[in-house]
Amino acid sequence: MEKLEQAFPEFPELLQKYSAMVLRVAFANVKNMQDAQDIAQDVFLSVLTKQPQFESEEHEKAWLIRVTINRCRNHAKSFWNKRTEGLSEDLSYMPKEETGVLEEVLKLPKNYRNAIHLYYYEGYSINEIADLLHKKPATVGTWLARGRTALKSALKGGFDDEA
Amino acid sequence: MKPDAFDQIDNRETYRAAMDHLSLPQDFERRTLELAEQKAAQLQERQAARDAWKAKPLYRRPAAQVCFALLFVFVLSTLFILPMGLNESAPMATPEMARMEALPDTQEELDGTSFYSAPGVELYSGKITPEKSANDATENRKEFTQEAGDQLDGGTAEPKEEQSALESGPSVEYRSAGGSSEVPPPAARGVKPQAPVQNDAMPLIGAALRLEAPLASASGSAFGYQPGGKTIQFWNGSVLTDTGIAGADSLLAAPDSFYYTAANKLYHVTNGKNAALLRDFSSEALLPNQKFTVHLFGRSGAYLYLYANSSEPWKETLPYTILRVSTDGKTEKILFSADGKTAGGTVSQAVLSGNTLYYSLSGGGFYALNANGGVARWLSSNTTAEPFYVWKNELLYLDAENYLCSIQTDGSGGERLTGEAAISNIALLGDVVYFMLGPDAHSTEGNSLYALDLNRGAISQVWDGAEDFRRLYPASDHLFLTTSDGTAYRYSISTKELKQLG
Repeated sequence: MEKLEQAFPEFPELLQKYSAMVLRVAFANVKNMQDAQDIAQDVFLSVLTKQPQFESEEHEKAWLIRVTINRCRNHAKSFWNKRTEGLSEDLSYMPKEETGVLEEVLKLPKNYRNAIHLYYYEGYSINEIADLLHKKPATVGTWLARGRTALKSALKGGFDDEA
Repeated sequence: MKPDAFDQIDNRETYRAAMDHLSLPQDFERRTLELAEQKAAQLQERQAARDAWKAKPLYRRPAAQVCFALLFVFVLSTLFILPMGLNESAPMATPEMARMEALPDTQEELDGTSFYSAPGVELYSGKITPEKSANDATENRKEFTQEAGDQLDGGTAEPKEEQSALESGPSVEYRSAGGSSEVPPPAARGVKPQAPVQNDAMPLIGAALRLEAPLASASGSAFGYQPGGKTIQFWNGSVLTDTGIAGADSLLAAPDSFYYTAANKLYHVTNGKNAALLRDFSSEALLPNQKFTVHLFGRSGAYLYLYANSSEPWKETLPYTILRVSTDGKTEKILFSADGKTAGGTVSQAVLSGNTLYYSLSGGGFYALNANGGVARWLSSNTTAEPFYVWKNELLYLDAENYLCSIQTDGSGGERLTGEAAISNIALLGDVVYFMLGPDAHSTEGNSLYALDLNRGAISQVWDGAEDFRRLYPASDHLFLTTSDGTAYRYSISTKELKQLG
């Protein structure tokens, strides 16, 4: 790893710190762990290639999420993925109640999924998600509301904050 | 699993737990690190190559070397290849030719006298450098021929191009130094007609003649000449006068007077000494953006005919202008202007014959122009030693090998009239052409004056002497002759007497 240390000594630490986050964001988008791995690897290699100057840890994390979502979007646009149906992920190793909730979330449209995941798992506010996705906060709020409504009808209790 | 089975469970916490329980690949970080190591190695190699590229001097970079090579080829082609190509194709490509138009067939004379007997016609002007003569000789020229009666017009018709093999001229035998007439006279017109003229051999004699040419002009019994570097001498028929005038560019004799140009000023000299300035051309824009030299070559009626050559021969374009002015110098008319972008050089000689001006260019080629103006018409690509003459419907001239030749005034035909090369220029007097023959161009002994009767085609020796006459000038009934050192003689045709002037 001499060359990697010469080129980007912080890379192993960055990888260890954010690999799980990037994989989860990618999985929430592509619904497939194999594709999520490929996308996550692309994201970290792009860090190595571009070597962006991060102002803070939040900036670093937000940059990785943003790049991951963009790569997932490109992946979905690819010729292969437009004409094939990916295998659904085997979630049998999870407890049944978790599998049910995860499957219902994954059924949501992509924008709703991203908003739900970033809001409820990563803990971002609506404004922060709007900054990340380069959308208006109202748009993100609408996505969240519609996602919640869809989950409420599918899951008893849904994702309502007041529930 | 039914969603309603989890109604008591906080679904948000369940989602977080599910995400936490996602089976992330154990070796993801290891494989990513390996990929990153490979990527880093690639990046370093790329950066090293980029640094090496930047460290290279500009001239060692392949792209720069290709550019330099292309630039070099372009410069070479600009300097050498293109000019050579233009010169070789000049007779075809000149815009003047494209605008050539047919001249009227009628040879209406302005003053009622034919050219060869008309007084006051300048016989030659301008000088050709020896380098140019050598080029004329060694250049493997293309012969452009035009069928009889064909005329170029509008740039659509082009002369037919032929690349014919060289034809060696007939063998030349010279007399012994004693000057006897043991050698048979050269073949005359009609006796041994020669093939169309080829100007391919070394014009050693012509080059010598051109170098020696002094300014001279004859009219009637008057004769004016300017030996090289000396003052103009004027013979009025009885007295030789040193005019004290030097540095003339051209000279035109008239009865009892003569005209000359010097430093682009036109003078008229009467009584052998009184020079009156008729016109100063030095401030006039006769040529576009180029310095020029004005030469006087003919007089007819109330007009004097001149041409202006570029005096900057090193320039790529050599424009020229032919004009006429009234004999008092007050009015002028531009008869023809050539931009010279592709045509063959400057005007080497011009002759006024009837209603037509014939002129030759230093790069070769005869042209015709209506004396009242218009567009010049290309006649032939032949190169000539000066001067050439107009006799009836023929142009008589010495080719590059100094053989007497003729072409029709419409540019057709072309034949050698003699079997020996002349060692002087030619002089036309009536229907007879006079020229000198001798052992070589520089011989001072064994030279003889010969005459070719154009009507009968017979050649005869008219004077057998040892003088090294190099220039002949026709007058009314006699010839003026000058030697290479500038001494002038007068030879009477009727009395066959030779006398030195003065």
